[in-house]
Amino acid sequence: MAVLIGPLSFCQLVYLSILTTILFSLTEASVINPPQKLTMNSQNFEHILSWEPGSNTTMPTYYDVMYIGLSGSENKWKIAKECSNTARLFCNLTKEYEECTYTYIAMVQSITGNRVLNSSILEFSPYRSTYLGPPAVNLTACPTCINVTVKLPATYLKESSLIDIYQKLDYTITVESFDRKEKIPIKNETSEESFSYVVGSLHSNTNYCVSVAVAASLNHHSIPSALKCIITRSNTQPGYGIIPILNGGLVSLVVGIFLLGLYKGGFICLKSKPWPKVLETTNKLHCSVHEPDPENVCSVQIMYKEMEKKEWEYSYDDSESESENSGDYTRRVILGRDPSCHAKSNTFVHQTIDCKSAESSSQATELLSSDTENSEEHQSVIRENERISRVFFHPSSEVNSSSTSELSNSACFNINLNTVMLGDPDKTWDDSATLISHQKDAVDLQDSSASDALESKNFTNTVDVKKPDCHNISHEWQNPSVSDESDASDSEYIRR
Amino acid sequence: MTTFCLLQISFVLLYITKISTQDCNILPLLHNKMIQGNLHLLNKMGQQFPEQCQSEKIHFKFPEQFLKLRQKENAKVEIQEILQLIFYIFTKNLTLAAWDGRSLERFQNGLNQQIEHLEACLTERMEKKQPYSRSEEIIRLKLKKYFQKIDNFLKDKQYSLCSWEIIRLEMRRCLQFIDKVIGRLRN
Repeated sequence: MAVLIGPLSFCQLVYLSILTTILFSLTEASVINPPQKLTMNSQNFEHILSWEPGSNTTMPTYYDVMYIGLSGSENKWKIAKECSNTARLFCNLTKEYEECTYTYIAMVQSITGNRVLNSSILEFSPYRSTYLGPPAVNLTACPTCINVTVKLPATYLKESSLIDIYQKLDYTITVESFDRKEKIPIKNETSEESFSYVVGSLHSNTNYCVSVAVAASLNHHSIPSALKCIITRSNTQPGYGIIPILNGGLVSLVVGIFLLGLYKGGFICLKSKPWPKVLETTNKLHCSVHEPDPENVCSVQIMYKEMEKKEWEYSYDDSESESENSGDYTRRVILGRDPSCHAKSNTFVHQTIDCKSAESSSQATELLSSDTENSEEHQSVIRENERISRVFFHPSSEVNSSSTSELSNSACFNINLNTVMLGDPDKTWDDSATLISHQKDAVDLQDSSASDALESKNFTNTVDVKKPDCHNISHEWQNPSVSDESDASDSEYIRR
Repeated sequence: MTTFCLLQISFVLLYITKISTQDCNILPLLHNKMIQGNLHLLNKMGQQFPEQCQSEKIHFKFPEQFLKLRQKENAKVEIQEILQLIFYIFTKNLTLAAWDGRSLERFQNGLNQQIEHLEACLTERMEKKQPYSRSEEIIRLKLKKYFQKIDNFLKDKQYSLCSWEIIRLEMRRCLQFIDKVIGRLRN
């Protein structure tokens, strides 16, 4: 019997256990829990209710969020508009919890098929329970301090800021050194949205990290700002870079100006400047005096201060002799007489011109032309007796410059005195007589520094010729405008 | 020796009274702390609001004009009056309230302290008290009406648990308002 009972009971046991498990599984399937673990996450008056489903079921479940403002006038549950028949597991109740001082209660209703289940009630008072922060923090450094500028976060309530709600907020600034060794909490209060605080008595050139948290007297829930780090350094650091650069620039500018002044003044970087034209002749003078001058040529040196190629009008005293010409003339030309000269003519016109350089030759040409003109005028004037005479240097007179070919740098040229004509400007040139009508010899006016033989020959020739020529000339000068002075135009020497 | 002791005690008392009267300067800060403590106690003494009481609740319209009081001295007077009224309510029949006795006692003591402190500071400056303006008179009347309504409600409900829970809820709100006004006084 016991054996029979044993196997029978064993079977029963198995059967029972199978049944119970089936039953349990069935009951489990049928048991649906209401939503659980209601939690409110609130930050700056933004309220988000979240929950967990009651049980995992294959059937879809929808949720309704209901709430009541306990301090309000309504007695009935209200459904949150945005969270009615939602499949999500969270609900934003910011708009529903609009009275910040009220205490609200919320409940989540789950609808599975046709089964409605209510969750437990969650009480929530925004004024006391919402998390405040984090505030916006800005840091500026000074040598031993940090200036902390804090801006309170905005609330999700309509037209209300944290100061509007709480009137006064307490804030805590935590300053800690980078290596977490120093920690300085600073507590203060504010009634402004934006405020600043200077943390002093810090070590310079040290890295500090700052965090700020705000809280109200009845609401100690706060979220601190993220750590912001700064090094306590002087703000004039960029200035430190600028000042030496400026100084260097100034110094270099001063030195540059000084050097420029020196350069302009010619103290440095002396260049060979082009000499003035006038001085070039003197330059040549120095160069030209190399060859000895064997010639004993009568010469009168006349130095011109100014040359004017224009009409002159003179009137002078008749009694003046030729020898006294120099003093009487108011002209700018100075007449000088070489004492060694034996010739009596006082109107020797000499001009020391260097024949070597081409430049001076051109100058010499100019001067010569003007000289000859003047000399002509000299003579004419001298001979004149209380008369105004005008003598022009006839442009048609030949100026033979062929002789210059012999001398490389010579500016000498020959004047064929036969072609030189003197005449009264009033009259036509036809009446004027040539200077040397019968004189066929040309007067070679050459550079003394030219070849000696040639030069001496020419000069001696001229000397020889001159004298008689002078006389001839004097005779020839029968112009009514020209006076009868004899010696004035004996010879013309233009010595260069 | 005894006279010397007495002298010492009197000096100490003098100093204490001087210090305590000087507290009036930091009145707002102190009272913020006090209200904070009182509110915490009020929260602690009871449980979460019972579901069954939701249907019984009514809306007590706290005069929010009170929050806009400009005159600091008058605001302080009003705060003192409110605290006194609250204290008066919590002296009524609390047997059915099922609250933590100790927390309730401490809450009552805290309220008392606050009231006495305000009284001391205000009587000191009695001569500086400004006459009430018409708007301020209205606020005073409304506050009185508000607390009368609470008292009537409790009587009607016969000081039941639900009525007490509803009132507790309302008092928490009231302390929040007072805290806000005190915060403004700190400016």
